[in-house]
Amino acid sequence: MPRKLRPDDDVRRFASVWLGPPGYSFPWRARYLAYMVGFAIFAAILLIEAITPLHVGIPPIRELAVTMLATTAIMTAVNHDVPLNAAIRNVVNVLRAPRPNQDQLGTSRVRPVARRVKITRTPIHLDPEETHEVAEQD
Amino acid sequence: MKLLNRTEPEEARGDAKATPSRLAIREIHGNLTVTGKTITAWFVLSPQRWSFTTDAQREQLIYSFARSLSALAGRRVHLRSTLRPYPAREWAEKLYNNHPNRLPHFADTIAAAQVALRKSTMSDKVVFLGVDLKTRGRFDRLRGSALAEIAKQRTQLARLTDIAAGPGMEGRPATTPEVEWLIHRSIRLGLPAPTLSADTESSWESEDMHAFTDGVDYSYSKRFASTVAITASYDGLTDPNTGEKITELTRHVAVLATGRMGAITIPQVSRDPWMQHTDMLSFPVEWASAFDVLAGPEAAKATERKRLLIRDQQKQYLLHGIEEPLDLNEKAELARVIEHETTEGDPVVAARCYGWHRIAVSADTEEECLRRVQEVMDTYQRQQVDIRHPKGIKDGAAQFPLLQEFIPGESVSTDAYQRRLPALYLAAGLPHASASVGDRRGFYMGYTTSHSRRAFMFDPWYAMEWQEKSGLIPVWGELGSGKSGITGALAAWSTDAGNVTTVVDPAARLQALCDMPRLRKHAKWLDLVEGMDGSLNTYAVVAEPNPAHYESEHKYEEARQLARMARKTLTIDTARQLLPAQVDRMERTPLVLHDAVRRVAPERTSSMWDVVEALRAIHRDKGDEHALALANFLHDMSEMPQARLFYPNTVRDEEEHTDTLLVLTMHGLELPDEDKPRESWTTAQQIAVPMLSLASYYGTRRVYNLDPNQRKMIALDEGGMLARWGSGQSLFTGLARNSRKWNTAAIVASQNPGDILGMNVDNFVSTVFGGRVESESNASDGLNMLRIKAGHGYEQVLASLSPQVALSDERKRRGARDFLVKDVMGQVEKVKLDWSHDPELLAALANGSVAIREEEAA
Repeated sequence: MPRKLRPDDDVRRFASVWLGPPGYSFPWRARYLAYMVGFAIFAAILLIEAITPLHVGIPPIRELAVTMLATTAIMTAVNHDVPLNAAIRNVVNVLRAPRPNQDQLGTSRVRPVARRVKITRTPIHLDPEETHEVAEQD
Repeated sequence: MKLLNRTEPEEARGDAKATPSRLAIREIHGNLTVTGKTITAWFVLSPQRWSFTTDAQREQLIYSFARSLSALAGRRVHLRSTLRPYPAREWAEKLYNNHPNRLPHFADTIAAAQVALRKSTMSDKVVFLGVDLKTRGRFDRLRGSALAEIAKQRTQLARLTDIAAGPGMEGRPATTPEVEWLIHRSIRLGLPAPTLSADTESSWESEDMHAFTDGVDYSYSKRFASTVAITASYDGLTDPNTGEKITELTRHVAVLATGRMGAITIPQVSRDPWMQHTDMLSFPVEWASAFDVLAGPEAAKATERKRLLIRDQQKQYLLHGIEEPLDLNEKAELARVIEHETTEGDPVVAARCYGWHRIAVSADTEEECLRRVQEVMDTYQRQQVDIRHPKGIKDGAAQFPLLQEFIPGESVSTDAYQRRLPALYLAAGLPHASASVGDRRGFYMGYTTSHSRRAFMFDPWYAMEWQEKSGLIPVWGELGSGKSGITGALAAWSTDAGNVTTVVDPAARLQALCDMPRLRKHAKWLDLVEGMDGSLNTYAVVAEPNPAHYESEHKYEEARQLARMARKTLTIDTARQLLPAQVDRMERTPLVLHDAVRRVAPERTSSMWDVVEALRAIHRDKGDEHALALANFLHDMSEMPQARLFYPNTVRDEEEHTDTLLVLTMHGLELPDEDKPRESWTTAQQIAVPMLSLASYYGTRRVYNLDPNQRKMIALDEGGMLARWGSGQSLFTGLARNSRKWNTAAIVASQNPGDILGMNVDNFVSTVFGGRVESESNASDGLNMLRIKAGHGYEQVLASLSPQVALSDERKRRGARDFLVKDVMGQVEKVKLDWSHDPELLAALANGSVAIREEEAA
């Protein structure tokens, strides 16, 4: 009998948005995640301004503007297929990758290197009584 | 155990220094790989048949695979689908050594096929299953070898081995050479892979990891590159097209990720497993999947949270008086269904596989690689699967880290593009479904075309020598489908291999084989119609058993008795065919004939004259006028030009034909139209039927005169005609029954598969070649012989094979032909039979066709 199969991903493919407090609907739609990222960025900016000689604006219009721009930029890279942690990890991977060597051939070269690899050709026997014997043969 | 020195990065190619990238793998023990974090057990999955199976069989296969996957709940599983070059050299050596009586030029014949194999993109698909046996702790990593850890996991390993061997997977533990080969292949993705011997225990030329990574560089022009170029050094590699030595090769590789996947319905005859779509592309593609198998309750927890989020969203929209998105309710329902499946459904339905599926595409240049990437995307777009090509920050993944995921032991580089699939959905991908037909040791016949391109080898004696089955090989199809081509090719190659081959070819299509330059000295063509009087004597054509060929006196006597009975039956049938139709139908005719034949000694020295004399004796003794009339009719028939072949004038010794290839033709033989009544047949047509049967007996005499263990081949054309009368059927069933004992490959060609089925030789059929048939009844009979269930749409496949081309199109007539082939193991595939690597054979087959057309035109 034919059976219809659907990926479970479909259940996750919706924008989890915060429409605003009860009784007041925001004129924009933003995901919960966007608010969390924005809050984290805003806090980071304030912390940086507090540590450095930079002046904290009151009202923090500049800080809010930077926060909104940064949050928008980050959230364009975050979607159902690319969650936030994957986007962050990807940035780290790319930054850690070897840089193109501009004054040489214009390419980055990576060479896979093996560790000290031990190889045993004897099949692993599933009978525990044979374990000792195999190790001796190795 | 070997300990290897740590490699130091050398100066890379050109002026650019390469940055080292350390691989995670540390140890390999048997089929286990050990990294700092995990121990993984690797298995090789057996290819599963998909083509020409019923919906029920496909559903069962998918369900079995899903059941095995669900048994791995709680573990990380890896699926690695890769391609292994066809071991052409090994095949050639085996074929050469398998025929000790080969003719001197046999090596050249094989070499031509070997070159064709190497030039083509023929490869074998190999699917590895990796299951994480254990996650290593911090202290485990500090210890030396992992052998002690492995020893504690033997019970788990045994359980995994049992699961992998179960239905749907039918896997076996990979050997260490296979694991090493996989690592080698994965590091040099897209580059020519070394041949892995079918002898899975054989060792590598190079035994250490050092050699795998040595001389390999990955390079890309920018951090957000579309592809990665892999360059590797080679020693002893030759370009199959130019014959030049190659010391360094570069391939551009792009890694793709599976994006959104649509709903599928299983099973469907018209729908292939979703991981198999890449097999149909004209370039090699590899897959690497890593996923966690979740049992129902675990998956339910993950879904529960999402379901609550969806409900929260719906409440929000309601609270704010805003219309909710259309699909939100649908997702809520889907979440409920998933929750129900994962909590109430059986373990197979409930199990989930959450993970990542990557596809690697390679080419010689970046442009070609990107073109192939687009082709993969387009292919899957038609199947409602979104394939993504991540290149940088916005795509969530970069090429180089994705590329490393293909190497066993390397971890998933990014959580992006994670797919959460029911185990049944993943199982419906069936990565190990593969086109597989043939014995991998015989003559190179062509390649499969249904889902992927795999070489098809056929050894006509494999069934008898290795599978203890009979050697009957039916070949059927309508006019122009290519039956004679198959017979001719097998006859020519059998002769090349030094095996005694006899072809009964009434229409003389294969006469030209004897004129092939390489076969001329070893072949003979004999036109039976031009033979001496009595060359088709009904008593002499049946071989006399040789006592040396039988184990006991009893069996020898039994064979002698059967031969005597065959002579009597043949004589009666021939005599009845020679009589006018009205006389044959008289009630007394068979009785009188039986009486007469009983009076004649059933030895090889008797003849139709003795029967005539016996009939006259009956008339003398009993005054039977009917017997006299029959005697006169048979005597008169001896004066017909072709009937003289049944009436010897002198007693002479049997002619011995010692040539390796003997082609028996019957020029001018005019077979009657089977649909017309016998009364409308001409005298020539009347004689043609027994002539054909006697010619077949003549041909089989060569089989029974030789040593039973010696390999032989006999090919009978117009097999359908044999089915129409008793002695013909006896010949046929005797040949089928004796084919194993006499190590004889018996090829029988017919236009109608029903003729062969009607002879009740089903149990003796080994390999079947089914060509184009358009009529419904023929299609039904053909599917029956191929063991394919009718009524599932496969009748159209038979009708669409090798469309008939215009006779005047000589170029097309020399081309390949499509056939459905069922091999001795029961595997069925659509195959393109292509002998372009043997131009001498093609020319001979084409000449035969030309001769027929000229004769018909005249």
